[in-house]
Amino acid sequence: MQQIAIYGKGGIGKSTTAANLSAALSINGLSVLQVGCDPKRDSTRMLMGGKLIPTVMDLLKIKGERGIDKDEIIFSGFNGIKCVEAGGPDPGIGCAGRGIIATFQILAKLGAMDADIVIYDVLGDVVCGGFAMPMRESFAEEVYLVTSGELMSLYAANNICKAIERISKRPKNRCRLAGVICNAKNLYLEEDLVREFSDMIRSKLIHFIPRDPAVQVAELNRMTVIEDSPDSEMAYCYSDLAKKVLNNNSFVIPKPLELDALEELAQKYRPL
Amino acid sequence: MLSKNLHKNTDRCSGCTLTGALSVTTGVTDAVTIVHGPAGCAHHNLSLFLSISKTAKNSRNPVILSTRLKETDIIFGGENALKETISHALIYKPSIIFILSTCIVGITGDDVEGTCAQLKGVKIVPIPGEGFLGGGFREGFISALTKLSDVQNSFQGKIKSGVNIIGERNLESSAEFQYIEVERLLNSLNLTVRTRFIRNIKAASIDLIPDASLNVLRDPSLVKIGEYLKQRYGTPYYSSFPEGFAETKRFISEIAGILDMDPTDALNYETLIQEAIKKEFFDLKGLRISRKNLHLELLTSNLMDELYADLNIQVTEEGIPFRFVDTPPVGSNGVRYILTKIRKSQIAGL
Ligand SMILES: Nc1ncnc2c1ncn2[C@@H]1O[C@H](COP(=O)(O)OP(=O)(O)OP(=O)(O)O)[C@@H](O)[C@H]1O
Ligand SMILES: [Mg+2]
Repeated sequence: MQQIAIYGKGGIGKSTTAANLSAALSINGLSVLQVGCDPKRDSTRMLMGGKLIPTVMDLLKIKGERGIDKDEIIFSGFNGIKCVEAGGPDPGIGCAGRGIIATFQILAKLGAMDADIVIYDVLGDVVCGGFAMPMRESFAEEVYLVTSGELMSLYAANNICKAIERISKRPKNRCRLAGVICNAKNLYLEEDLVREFSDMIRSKLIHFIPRDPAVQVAELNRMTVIEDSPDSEMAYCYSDLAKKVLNNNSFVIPKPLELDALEELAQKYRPL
Repeated sequence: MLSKNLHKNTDRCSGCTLTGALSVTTGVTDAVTIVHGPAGCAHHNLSLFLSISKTAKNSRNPVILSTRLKETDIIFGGENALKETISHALIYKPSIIFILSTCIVGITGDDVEGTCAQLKGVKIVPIPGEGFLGGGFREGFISALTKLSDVQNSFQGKIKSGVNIIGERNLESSAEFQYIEVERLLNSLNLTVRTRFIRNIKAASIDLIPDASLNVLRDPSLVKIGEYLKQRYGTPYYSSFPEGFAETKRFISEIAGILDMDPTDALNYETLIQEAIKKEFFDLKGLRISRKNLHLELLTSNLMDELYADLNIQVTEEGIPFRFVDTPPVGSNGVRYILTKIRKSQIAGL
């Protein structure tokens, strides 16, 4: 079983990338489980025909931990992909991080992490210990950063590197940075910029995803691109990503940059 | 080893913030205190509190409820649990409800003030009790008193008379004895006590706080509260109970000064009492007592210097074994009390 976690700045395209990656992997004949680790609970929506599925936290609230059954939280989506949403409190109340911790405990107890490949789609930044849960022992060993060439997106990715660096130092922890995925915003020399950033943090740019309206069209059709337009260029792009993820075998402890270095890099790629 | 993590390097005032706050809120006899947190926070503090109260011969049976937060309340917020517990508290028909927040709700950020503000019909006072914010027992104690000094309906500008006692140490076994002595001193100036803020009072008495002409603080750590009440109601304050003969006389004359009274009679009377005490314990003259089992506050207080000056009683490494683990006793009769104890030790050692 391969377990990967997807981190990146809020709104950068993590869920879109995760869902399309899951879809592409499953088309290749692999069993896939996607776990949305975000109280927004929209990670798996495009795999579930636009539906928001009941979350693990919803069930915990209603039934208590003992009463939860596997099939009440695992839903079968596009091409049999298993979908789970952690869920969490309403905005502005409670403790979402604790919700993620509780979700992982419940999933582990139920033996729910059961597929050829498990993808954890984690919200924005690693704001507190709870959101680092997917990187802990026995969960994801490969972290992919999704970023564009925008400075603040790189800044967030760099911060996540700090979390990976810290966590990887713990005894027995095997969590490593597996690579950077550039989800483009159509910026000037964006691919070069993100590649250089990836090298600087001692990782590599493993894939470049162009910004393409096909993604939004698919979203409006409540589907992934893989499902919506399987022969499109974008569908090939995501399939390509899937292959790279499967064949990737270079995992590193990243070296986060200082803000100065990050800014210097951004200056170098200043738009003309 | 000097480690701040070692338990023995913490003092009695570094205990749980909740215990400090509870020692105040449970002094309101017609109140219910709700501890907003996991069941253990309330249970542990209550057991500790009850066992101390027992040695303090203070047989109160306060109503303390817990919101009994569980994991889901932490994840989704504990505000519903709080509302439910408040409605449960109403069964006891309390005149006032105190909400003490524990560490965990400070982390998850439950809006306790906001939740309480939605509920009408009973006075609810939220008191911050999160220990991790820094501080311990003492801060909880002060935080509760501060909150309570703020709940009065606005001051009517009545004619002021009487004295409030602010911040009695409810968990000390000698608390009542301390009070009786201070009341005696005030009576000798023809002053009466109005509100004991907070010890064995009804919630309604809290509203009388503004009416006193003077606030007497238990000790100078409460000066902030003294200042606050002074600013809000114009009531002057005296900052401590007196320890030892000299401070006792100063207590009388300075309070008389604040209230523009003549202390002569009271002072003369106190002199007689103090002379009588010295005479009563003249046989202890020149005694050496061991410092081993004495409260640090006592060792450093003026009281011990006075015992040396008046009766040549000295604290030494050797001396007769003498055990006194309380804080220094209050007033002239406090000196008498400690001398009685010394004599008992002397007799036991013979
Ligand atoms: N390559 C792309 N081309 C065009 N649009 C894209 C692309 N990737 C993502 N988007 C669009 O960007 C928006 C945000 O994407 P998504 O919800 O996947 O981001 P996210 O990182 O998961 O956000 P959040 O942090 O809020 O969970 C979506 O409307 C999505 O359709
Ligand atoms: Mg998302």
